[in-house]
Amino acid sequence: MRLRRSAFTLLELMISISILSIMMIYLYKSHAALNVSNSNLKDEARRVENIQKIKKVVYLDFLTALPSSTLITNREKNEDAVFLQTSHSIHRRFNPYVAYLLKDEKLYRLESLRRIADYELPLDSEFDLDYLGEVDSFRVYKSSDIKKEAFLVHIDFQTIDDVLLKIKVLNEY
Amino acid sequence: MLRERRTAFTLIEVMVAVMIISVVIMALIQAYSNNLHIFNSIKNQIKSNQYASSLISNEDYGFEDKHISLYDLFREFDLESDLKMALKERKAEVLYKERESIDLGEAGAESQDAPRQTVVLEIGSSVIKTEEFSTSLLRLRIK
Repeated sequence: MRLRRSAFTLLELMISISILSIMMIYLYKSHAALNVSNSNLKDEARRVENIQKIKKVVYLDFLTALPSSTLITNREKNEDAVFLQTSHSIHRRFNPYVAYLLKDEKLYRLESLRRIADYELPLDSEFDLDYLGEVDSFRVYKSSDIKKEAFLVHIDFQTIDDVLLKIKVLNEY
Repeated sequence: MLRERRTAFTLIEVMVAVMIISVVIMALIQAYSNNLHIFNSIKNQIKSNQYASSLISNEDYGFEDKHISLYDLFREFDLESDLKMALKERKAEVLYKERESIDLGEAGAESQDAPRQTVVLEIGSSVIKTEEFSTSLLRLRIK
């Protein structure tokens, strides 16, 4: 009569548990790495989304700028202050005045119905302020071609990719 | 005769099961890795798309194949020296490919005396290629 086998032996069980334990260790490591990676990916996706929003706002501001309304003041080697009137608004205003100003390496966008034409703002100024990010450099160049109104915007961000956009004003004379 | 009755897995079966699970997990990790690759390529594409704006309203480049530096695309701007140098160092290739040509017939045909001219709309794509990226822009030309 042959031996009847109805369950694992202790040895089989221990080998299985050992294999499973090793697998579990690697799985846990893999899961932890995956979590960290997902978190990084999420941050990166947020950065990409952020830079796209900034590009869109800057592009539309300059694209729909009113003819010859753009004033660029060079303050330092890597710093321009830009004032313009545009048809684009992110605060539901009609043809607002917009300014791009740098303060303590932080770039801000100001939007107001009252004209902004100087870096030193009057005390009674009313505007909406949007923070665009920390930058090493913010320069806006005007095309030397007098037949067209075009600008090159270069924003060198500290933490996200830099922006280099050529924008031709749509409403030029 | 009493036949052998089997009521539990053998070690081999358990090991085979573990192996199958491992292969499945490997495949999942591989799939994740592919997603990461796709994300990175999209990110690079978004980053490089801005260079296509240099061809807007640029009559000198984009309608012929040319080997240039990125600075040539922004030559109309008096750039600050660091940016100028950085752009000059990046070699690029501008390629133009005609996609479709639409013949709109003869313009000015209603007048007997007016010279007859044929108007053709040409749709093409200009591609900027560098070592790091490639980006393109659809263009419309009236001939």
